[in-house]
Amino acid sequence: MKRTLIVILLLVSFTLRAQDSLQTFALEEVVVTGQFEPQSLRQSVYQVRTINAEMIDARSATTIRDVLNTELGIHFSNDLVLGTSDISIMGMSGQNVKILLDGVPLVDRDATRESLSQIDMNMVERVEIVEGPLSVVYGSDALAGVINIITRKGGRKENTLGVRVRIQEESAGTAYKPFHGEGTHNENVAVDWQGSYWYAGGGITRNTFGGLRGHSVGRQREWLPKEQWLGNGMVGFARNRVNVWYRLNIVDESLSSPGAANANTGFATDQEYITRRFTHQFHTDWDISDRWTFNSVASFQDYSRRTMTTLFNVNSGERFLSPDPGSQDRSAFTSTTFRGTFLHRVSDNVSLQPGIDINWNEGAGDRMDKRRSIGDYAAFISAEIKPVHFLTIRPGVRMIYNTVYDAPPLIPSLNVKARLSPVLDLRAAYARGFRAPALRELYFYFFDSSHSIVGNPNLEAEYSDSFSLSLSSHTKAPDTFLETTTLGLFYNRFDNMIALGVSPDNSGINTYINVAKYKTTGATLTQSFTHNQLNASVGIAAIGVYNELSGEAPSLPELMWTPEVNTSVAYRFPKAGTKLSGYYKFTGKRSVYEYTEDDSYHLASREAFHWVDIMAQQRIARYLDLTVGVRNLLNVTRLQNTSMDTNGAHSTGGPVPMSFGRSFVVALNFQLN
Amino acid sequence: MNRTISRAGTLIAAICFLGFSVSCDDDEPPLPDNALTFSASSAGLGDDDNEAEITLNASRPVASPVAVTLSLTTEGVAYGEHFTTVPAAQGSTLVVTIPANASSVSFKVVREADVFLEGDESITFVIVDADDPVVIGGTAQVVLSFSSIVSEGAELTLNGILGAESGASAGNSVFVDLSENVQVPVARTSWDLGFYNGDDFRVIINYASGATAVMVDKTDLSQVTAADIDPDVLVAGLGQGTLDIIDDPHGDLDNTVIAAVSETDSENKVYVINRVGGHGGIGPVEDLVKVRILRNDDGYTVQYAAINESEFATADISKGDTHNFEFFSFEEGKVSVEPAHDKWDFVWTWSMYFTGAPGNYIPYGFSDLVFVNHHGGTQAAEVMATGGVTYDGFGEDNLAGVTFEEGRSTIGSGWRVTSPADQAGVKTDRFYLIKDAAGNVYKLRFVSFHPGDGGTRGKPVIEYALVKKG
Repeated sequence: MKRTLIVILLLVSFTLRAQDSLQTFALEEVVVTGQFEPQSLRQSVYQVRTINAEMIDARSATTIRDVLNTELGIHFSNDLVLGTSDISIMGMSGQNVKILLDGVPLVDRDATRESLSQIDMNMVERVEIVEGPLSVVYGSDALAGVINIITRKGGRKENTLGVRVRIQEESAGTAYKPFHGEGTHNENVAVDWQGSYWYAGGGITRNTFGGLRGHSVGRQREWLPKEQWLGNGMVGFARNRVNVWYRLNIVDESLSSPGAANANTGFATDQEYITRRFTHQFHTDWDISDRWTFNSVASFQDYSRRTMTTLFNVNSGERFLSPDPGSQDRSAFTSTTFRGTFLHRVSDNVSLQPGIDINWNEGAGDRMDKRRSIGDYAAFISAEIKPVHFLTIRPGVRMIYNTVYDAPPLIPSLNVKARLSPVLDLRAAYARGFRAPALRELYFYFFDSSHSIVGNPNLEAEYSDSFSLSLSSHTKAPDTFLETTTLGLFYNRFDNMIALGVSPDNSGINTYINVAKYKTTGATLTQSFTHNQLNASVGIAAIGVYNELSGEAPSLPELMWTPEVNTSVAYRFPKAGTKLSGYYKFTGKRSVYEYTEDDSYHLASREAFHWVDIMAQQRIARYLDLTVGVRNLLNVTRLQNTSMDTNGAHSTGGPVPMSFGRSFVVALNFQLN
Repeated sequence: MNRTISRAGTLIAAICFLGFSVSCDDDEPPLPDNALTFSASSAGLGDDDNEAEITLNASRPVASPVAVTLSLTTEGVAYGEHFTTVPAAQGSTLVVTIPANASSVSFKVVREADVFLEGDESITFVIVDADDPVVIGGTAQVVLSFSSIVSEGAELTLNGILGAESGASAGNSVFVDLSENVQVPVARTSWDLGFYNGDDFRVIINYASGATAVMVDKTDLSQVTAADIDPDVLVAGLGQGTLDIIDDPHGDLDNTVIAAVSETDSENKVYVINRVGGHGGIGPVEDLVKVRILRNDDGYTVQYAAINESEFATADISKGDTHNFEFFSFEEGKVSVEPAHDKWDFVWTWSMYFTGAPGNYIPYGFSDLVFVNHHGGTQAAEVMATGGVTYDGFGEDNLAGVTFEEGRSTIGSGWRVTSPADQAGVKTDRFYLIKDAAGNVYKLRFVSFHPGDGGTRGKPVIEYALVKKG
């Protein structure tokens, strides 16, 4: 397999012409998430953050985490046992974050957003992050925010062929073996072609991580080895007023968890978690007339995750499938979605966007009682009204029918954007968000000696009320000097949240119930400026999350605050073809009150940490760039944690694993057009 | 132009092919052999017994019935004259069938009435054929002696699984007699009360079902209803409950929930029992049982009823002399649970036990506990495999420095790790010594018990060898 890939890499790399990958992108970035039609960041009624291809290239990212982990309000946590990571945004965990791939929600089997680590960064054109609910358009799960991953689409000029090739090697701490074994290895080849009407593209990536023993002993690995094959192909047709395209993304991931060898028998139990994901999408954009536009996306996703358990004899090298009935598990989900919207420009001042959104999900396995399905049918309408030229008002409402649970009757939102002066924009928003109960929460079934958990088919949706306010100033001096300052405030109130509790019918059984409340609030202040070849930004944030014990103990604070600071600097030497960049984030101490066995409250804290990445890009030939850098320069590994909850099976105490440590990156990028 | 298209098309086709081909190579290793073995290579039919049961175990359940052919060779005895088998043998061949969905099959050797033997007679059974998919495994022969034996050692797979339950909540308690190579699995919820056969008048509640009990300050059973208790008091496990609602976790009979049964009836109070628990909850309140136990000459009388009933049932239990306890079920009356007190050394079972910091212990249900038969006089010692001491090398000479403990919990939960999950497995840094009431000393080690050590939960594998004959 590896050899085949290298042959393809060589074939394509010698046949094509060069393009300068260090070129800048336009400053007036265009965003699509939640918009009626693609428009500039400045015109958007939402406060949108974007990570563009240039930033992704500059950081030599192999996972989306590599570009998001110095963003304000975004955290990643690791589950070392399963080898997965989860995201949190503004104090809310991953199940409240909607992950979209070109507008299509990605399936995740569990509450954590494993899908984020299964995205091929080589195919990403741009990442758009919108904080706060976008539930009118995108439905469930978009409480904390939406991350929309926009893929590269075809060529730019007619009758051109482009090829990109990347070979990247990265150490894991001081451990490294070339191309295989310890370290991160990412190789990609991608082509795109633009004809007169037709266009097409595709790519394949191998992204592997060799695992690291870390604090484990023997055969076991603290950081699990991972092998990903990521493929995509697309074909589109654009003529006159119609643009249609089909895209397939394939993920094949295997995480290995080698077990300890039993000295008595020589046998070790090894586990492999094999994830397959096929995401088909079909998009239609049709400008029917000057006043009417139609957009739709239909998608089908086929997701499966298998736990394969094998018995390995370390003495003889024999390997057997484990016959233990509980040791082989397969969960499979499919998701079929259709979202269609019309945009009707009623007048210069009023636009309407009616739409429908259909989601049909089926799943089996993963400790669910049997194969289950859930259908969600929604209609929504938004209006954009400009009563005066400096004011944009966008009300919206979504109506839902769900086949399983009583969906919330109406999901409203209201966004207002006012241009206070030529340089000053004010945005205010109220939105209701909701999270539908997951299939797992409705139909879970798990009994053993220490668990008695059943799902609850009578669950209702979690919902939130979200308020935000932001003020941005944009100043542009004659000599390409651009400065943007944004002050943002947010307040989110969550109710009816689903938590595991004791069944009202039988005190011996746990089930999911709508019980918890939660709040998050915070403020961010960011400033970025561009001057000649310098790009820089600095931001500070304070994020408060609800102290769940404050309800029963009024003497405790209601909110627990964490400060954050980030900054990034990039400087370009155009003649030398060099770009230097650095990224820094300080994440303050995060504290949480916990209830102790002797009936008192203990303030547990995870220590503060500083994260630094530095990168250098150098053009070494007309179509060839070299990138070298250091990720996690300060070698953050395990964060101290004073939680006393260290004894139980699901305890939250002990050091928090953040990273395997400082890593060194070398990458070669061909970009030919 | 056309060439460009075909080039792009070829590449995309190649990419799609690669994408799909990686998703099809699920190279799955084969299952291990489903090997059929005798549970031990020697067995005894002592003078006290009229029959012996011999068990063949497959590694895992079979989907459809599997016929197994055994040859039998006799030494000093003749089929039909001195013994028969169930099922019956045909000449020197015995065919037994493993039923569908089962992993074991047993047959019996029955001594004919009024047959007296020297004790050096024997029958040898050998597995000569087994239907697919079962293959003949390591211990394919067993010698049954017409006398009690003192085993030289064996490897036993304890059958903890009663039905289709998960291994961590295995439904059987398995009683093991090392010297006879015998295991006796008993459904662990098959009993409610154990009446002590020794001098004291003590009654235990079922440790292996997670039962809990609380005293009601009344002596008339018919006057007790659910209103007399707070059902939450009976909740134990997963962080809840107190040690005074269960019997002493170490089996000390001076510290049972139910007080010593007094000669004076008016001192014997009513107790309310939650029969199955241990997971931080109890069943419906109306299923709780109220009991009152009185003395009856040199035995016991038990009065019992569902908590809100006004009528109650009564049963008399006389003390026996062959077992530690007489066992009683509210549904079945007297039931057989433990083997005779000199016919077992330890029991492997799920059980109510305890956890927490010293001084702050709380009840907790444990899987895979091992309790020594301390009432029957069995003793145990833990030996750390350090400083050159090994299980294999341990012999009679090494016994000099060993102190045997008389308690029940010497092995307890200390032989295995269940969490964190990545460290689960038997502890290979230690083994145990078991000294039975007859003075035989065995070394014992736990080979596997959990997927984390390559074993199967609910089917622990033990290995033992005679160190010193008593």
